[in-house]
Amino acid sequence: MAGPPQLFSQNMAATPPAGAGQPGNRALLLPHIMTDHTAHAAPPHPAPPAEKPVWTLEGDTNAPQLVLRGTWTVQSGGMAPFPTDGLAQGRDHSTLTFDTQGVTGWDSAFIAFLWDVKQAAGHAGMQFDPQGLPASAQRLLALLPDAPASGKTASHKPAPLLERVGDKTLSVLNETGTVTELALETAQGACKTLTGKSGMRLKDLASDIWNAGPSALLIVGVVNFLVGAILAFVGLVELRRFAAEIYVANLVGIACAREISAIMTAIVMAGRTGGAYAARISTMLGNEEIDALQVFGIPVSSYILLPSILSLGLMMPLLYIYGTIIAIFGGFVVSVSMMDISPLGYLNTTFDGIAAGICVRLCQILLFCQLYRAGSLPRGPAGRTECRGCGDCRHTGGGDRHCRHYRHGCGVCRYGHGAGDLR
Amino acid sequence: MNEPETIISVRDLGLSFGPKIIQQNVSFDLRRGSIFAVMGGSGCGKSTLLKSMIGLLRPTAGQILVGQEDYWAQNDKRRTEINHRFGVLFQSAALWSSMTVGENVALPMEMFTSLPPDVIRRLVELKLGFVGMEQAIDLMPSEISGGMRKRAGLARAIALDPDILFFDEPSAGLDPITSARLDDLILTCGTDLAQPS
Repeated sequence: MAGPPQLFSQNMAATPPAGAGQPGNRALLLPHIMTDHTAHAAPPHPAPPAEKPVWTLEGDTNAPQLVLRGTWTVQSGGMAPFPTDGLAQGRDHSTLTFDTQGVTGWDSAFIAFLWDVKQAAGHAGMQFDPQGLPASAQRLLALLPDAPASGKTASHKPAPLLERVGDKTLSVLNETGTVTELALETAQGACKTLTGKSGMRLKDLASDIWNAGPSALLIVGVVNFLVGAILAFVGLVELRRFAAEIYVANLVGIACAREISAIMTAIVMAGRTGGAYAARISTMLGNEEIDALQVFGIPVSSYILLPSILSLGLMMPLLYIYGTIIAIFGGFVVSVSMMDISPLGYLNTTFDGIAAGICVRLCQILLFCQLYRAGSLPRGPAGRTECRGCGDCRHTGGGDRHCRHYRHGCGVCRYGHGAGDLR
Repeated sequence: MNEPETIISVRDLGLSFGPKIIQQNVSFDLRRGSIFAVMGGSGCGKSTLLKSMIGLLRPTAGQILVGQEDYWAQNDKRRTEINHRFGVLFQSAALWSSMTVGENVALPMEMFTSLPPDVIRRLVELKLGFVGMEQAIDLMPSEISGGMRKRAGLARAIALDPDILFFDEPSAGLDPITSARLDDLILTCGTDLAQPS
């Protein structure tokens, strides 16, 4: 009975184990299936350098013999192919034998070489006699077909231009049709939602809303904060040259509210939430979940697409408003720390500069209503807010008694000076 | 003795992916109460044949008769109605991963019946009880083992009391013991659920 599996590779002794090359030697394991047990059993001394793999064709044309020596591993350069016409000089029906006594180690490279030899022998009309090979190599070689599959990559010629254009056109048309069909089905599902017949589960909608909205607050906030801060910093440096620093607030406010926050939020949502949707649908496709839906007759558009699209449709405007506020806050932080301006003054200038977007205006109104309602600005005996700041209100005509930045009647000092303390 | 009625007839079926022919001239009959197995090597087109029989892949030739109706000659709506006579256990069980096991079994009932929620809940417990999965009703598919997923998939497949059950390699990836249990379960479904007496 054969002994325990032996390791026969370049990491072991330079000489092959006893019985190598004999049919009775049962286990010459490839390195990639080496066990810890055999690996630990290796001697502590460093392995001798691997011999270069060498082959020679000996014998006469009637009985050619391939003599192999050295270490036939990938690392030692054993992947050199055997020439296709390397056996062309052999006679038909002669038998090719092997001598592997000089082989000191081998792995897949050895088998790849032998496979080449086997094919060359076939081309030359020779018999391939593997008896002289190690038993494991014989078994591995027996697993391989006589010739590699005629892969398309090896001999694939590009199709004619006209055919490629036609294929591409049909592919684009097909994809357009599929997308249009999906869009129409989703729109149909959305209409059915209004009557409660879409088949969409509210639980799925709620889950998607959570994923598209609250879960995205952090990333949308970070991106917009940085955009606002960078815009303010760059704008401040440039506008300072013209003594127009105050317009940084307008710059940040207008740019973010009208363009940048919307774009940045959309990009973040496309990458984050859109990517998550694509991954989820792909996973469902791979797990046959979509097939299961189709077999049950549950429309994919209503079940998967509609909640996703509705949740994004609901959340995107809110995220845009949130992103705008955060971007303005980013600009605010930079500006207040670098300019001589009060926080409320900056915010007021910002909102003055933003054109009347309804949502933003609404937020502004709500924000400041709450701010003043909370009593941050005490009122005077006549019910008017009075200023303790710079004392030059251009609206009241009070000149020396009022702050010049104080707006008469509106209760807001654009530079945020407090009230109630007459100069 | 009369033979059981034929519920599905496959006639000269041909299947292909583009120019690559997968199957051709396939013909057989399925009779009520019988268990019919399609065997073959890996990649020979067993799952493809199944897909064409359950409406996921249109054949390139031949007919699939369900009862007297040519399945692929019907419109989408009618095919969906016919599909309600089918229950399918996919190779990977195909449980909807965003739902609990109980919700997986309940969804077809919620979509295609007007049963009240408490009745659906009882039916779900019943179906899961058939396959020994009643304790996993509130677990997510990711929280149960491969064998349990297969059993849950079977419970979903029998949710609408179908006439015909399709199994795509039901014991693939299961250990021999679990596989044998699932085979017993399939036999029970084929004999006792299909022909209640």
